[in-house]
Order: sequence, then structure tokens, then C-alpha cells
Amino acid sequence: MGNSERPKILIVDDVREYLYSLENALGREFNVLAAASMDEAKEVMNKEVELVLLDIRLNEEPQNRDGIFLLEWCKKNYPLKPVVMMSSHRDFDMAVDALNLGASYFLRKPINIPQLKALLRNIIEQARLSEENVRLRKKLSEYENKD
Amino acid sequence: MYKVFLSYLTKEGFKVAILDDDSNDLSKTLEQVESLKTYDVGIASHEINFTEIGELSESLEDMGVSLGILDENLPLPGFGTALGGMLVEEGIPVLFLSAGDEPPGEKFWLKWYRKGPKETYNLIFEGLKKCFENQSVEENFFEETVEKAVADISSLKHRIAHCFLSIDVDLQGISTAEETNLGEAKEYLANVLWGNEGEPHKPLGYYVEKLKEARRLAGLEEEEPNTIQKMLVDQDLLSNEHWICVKRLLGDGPIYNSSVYPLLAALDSLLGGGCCKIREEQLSILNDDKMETLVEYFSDLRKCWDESKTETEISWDFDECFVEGMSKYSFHDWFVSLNEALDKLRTDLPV
Repeated sequence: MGNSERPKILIVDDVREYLYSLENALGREFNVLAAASMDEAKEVMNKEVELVLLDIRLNEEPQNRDGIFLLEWCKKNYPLKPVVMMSSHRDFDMAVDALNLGASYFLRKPINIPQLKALLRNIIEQARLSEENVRLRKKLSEYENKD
Repeated sequence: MYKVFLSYLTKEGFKVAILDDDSNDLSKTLEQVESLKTYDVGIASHEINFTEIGELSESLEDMGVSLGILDENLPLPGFGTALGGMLVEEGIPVLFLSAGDEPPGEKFWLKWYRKGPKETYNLIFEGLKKCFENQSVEENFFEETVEKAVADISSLKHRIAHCFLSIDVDLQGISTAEETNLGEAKEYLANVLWGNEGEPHKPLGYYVEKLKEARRLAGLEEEEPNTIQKMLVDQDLLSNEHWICVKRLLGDGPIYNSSVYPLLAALDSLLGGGCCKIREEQLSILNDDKMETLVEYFSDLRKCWDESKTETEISWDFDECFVEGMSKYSFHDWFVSLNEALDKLRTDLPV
């Protein structure tokens, strides 16, 4: 499968070693962009990205909420793009916040890679259908307005 | 007249009396208690009131003392060898301080006396906990220590997780690739070990060092107890079943007692064999007959285990430490079980 056929995803995690490992593990099936911080993620995010896999904490501080802020930013600027959150902490409050803000899923590390791949494929498929739905409804509405 | 020195700790209406027949010892205890303030444990103030007990006009109970803390051998003429006996009879709970190793009696509590401030606090903690079991004062008074213990375990879990998160993904990646194509799996393994151009190389001994680091964090590598070990003692968790699982999974005793040690050592030996050569040579190592089955190691720990078992005759009986349904031959399942044990350890704290 060539790069163009693979869904483009963005992975954001502050631990670079883990980022490399996820890139390697998902790289055969997805076209992976990687970012290690909120600013880096905002820079590389674009409309071609079909899904964002985002760590809830983007530094070591226990109260860090950069992942949540980035989720809000994604939902504001790319409302139809699904965001999957992940964390190695038991961040129940943050998990609830994330789901309320529109995250598609919340994963706890350590992550099972085959399950992650299946999850990402399903969510991307659903998102594609939703986008298609929106596009067709818009077209239909335009068509009806013409009449 | 025999002198007994007395001072008080007060906290929200609760009065703790500290008694000693030696004013210097009492001062030392007070110094320790004073330094407890740095832990912000909620001791509002203490009132230094060196008093000869013979001059007390009313009993400690009448004075509103909630708890007595005293030297286990504190004698008082007319009341036997220990003043504590009298206090217990009066219905005042007593916490005995001792420099000895043996408890003075079943109904008393023994703790090492001349320890640092944290130990002194925990000594008071335990005494009060026993005295005021199920009463709200316990929560108010000890909330902070328990919160700190929760934070300690959370931090331990987080830091241990970071030792293995990347390795876990790498090994799953190799294993997944192997299912479809052995050649691809070898390429993947080479990538993991030596990286692509421009990526940082792993230092020699990287894999076993990660296990050592996790053990160090849990206090299993050092002779001196670390913060975690002290917290476990304080919270009475040393013989907790989940802590025992954590220890067994990380290697209870020498490092090679860990179920994943043979795998990590095998990865290190590959890393060492290839780190100074060019990539083609590195890949050729994986094509050697000897290395033909190496990739299989990383999807099934059994091979590593079997070899190691022959060499060291260690018993790999870890079944009860694994989450139900998980395989002791899988690194990922080992890692999930380790995380689970740490989570359960935290939930065993009296929050």
C-alpha cells in the first residue's frame, strides 16, 4: 500500500521514544505524522489528517492538561476529525472531560497494538462515512434550493 | 519524688500527651515532632509543659488527653514498671515508644523510637488510627499521609510504565509483523535495535537497564529502603498480595528472577553485537542460522525462558501474578499485569 492510500494520522506524545515506537508499529498501515508537543502538533496538523491519537498529558507535570487543550483546538479547527485520547494514568476526570469535548475514545496505556490498529481503522471508516454524509446532505440541500 | 516529664500535642481539640522520665529524650521527641511541621501533617502546635507527674492535680483523662505516647519502660513508683499500664486502665489509649525490637505486650504498639521525623509521625499515625478507628478524626488527621501514599504509588506506576512502554510497542510490532512475514519481522527488529538513519541509537545494555531502573524505582535494587519502601512500611503494605506480585514480576531477589529478564538480556546481546557495524552487517546477523529463531523469542517468551531455566534452574511459577486470562509467555501480558498489580496496590490504601 502506498503512502497516498494509507490514512494519514497524527500521533502526539511527549515521550519521543514512545512516539518512535508507535510510528514504527503503525507505519505499515497508516501514514504517520508525529509531534511531541502541543505547538508541534498545531504546526503539522492539516486537513489531510484523518485521525489524531493524542496523549492526555504532554509533559511530566501531574496537572498538565495540554492534551485536553489540544483536543479543544482540534475540535474547534477540525470539528469532523476524530481524536483518540490515551494516558498511562488513571485520569478519570480528564477522561470524562475529553469525552465531553468530543474525543472518540479513551485508551489506557499499555496499549494493545493489534486492537489499536483495529480501533483506528473503524473510527476512520466511521469518520469517512460521516464526512460523506455531510457532503451529500449539503449537495442535496443545494439541489433542493435550486428547485 | 520520681519525675516524669509531660508535653502535649494538640490538634483540633485532640490532645496527645508525651511522657518521658528523661527530659532530654522528651526534648528529642519534641524536636522530631517539631520537624514534622515540614510535612504539614496538621499538628497545629505543641505546648511544652515539663511537669512532674506527681504534681498533676487531675488525671490525664480528666485533662482531656486523647492519647498517651510514652517510653515503654517508663517506671512510676506504685504503678508497676510502666506508667502505660495505669493509663490503659484509665481508658486512655497508649502508644509506646521503644528502642527495642520486641513488642512490650500484645495490646501495645511498638515502633522504633529514634527514627527520623516521618517515622515519628507514622508512629503517631498508627497509634491514633488504632485509638480512633472508624471515627472522623482519623480521616482529618491522616488524610494527607494517605494522599501522599496514593501519589507515591501513582508516580511509581507512571515511572515504571515509562521504562517499558516503548519496548512493549516494539515487541508487539515485531510479533505482529512475524505473523505475516518473517523477513519483515527481522527488518522491524533491526529498526527497533539500531534505528533508521538519523534516529538515536540505543546504548549498550539498554534493555536490562530498563528493568534495573524499574526495580530501582520500586526499591528492589538498593540495600537501603527508598521512599517507596518506607511508604510501604508506613502503610503496612509490605505483605500486601499486590505488592508481592509487583516484586515477583520485577524479580523478587536477583534481577534474573524476573520473568522478562531472559528476553531483555537476549535483546541486549543483539544490540551489543550490532551496534558498531553497518546496517547490512547488522541485518546479516539476523540471517545467521543461530539467529534464525530469534524473532520468535519476541512473540513468545517461552523459548527465552526455557533456555534460562536450563542455565539457572529458576522456577518460573508466576501464574498467580498475571491477570486472569493473560499469558505468562507474553511481554505485553506481563506489562499489563504489572500495571494492574500497581493499580490494585493503590486501591488497597485506606482512602
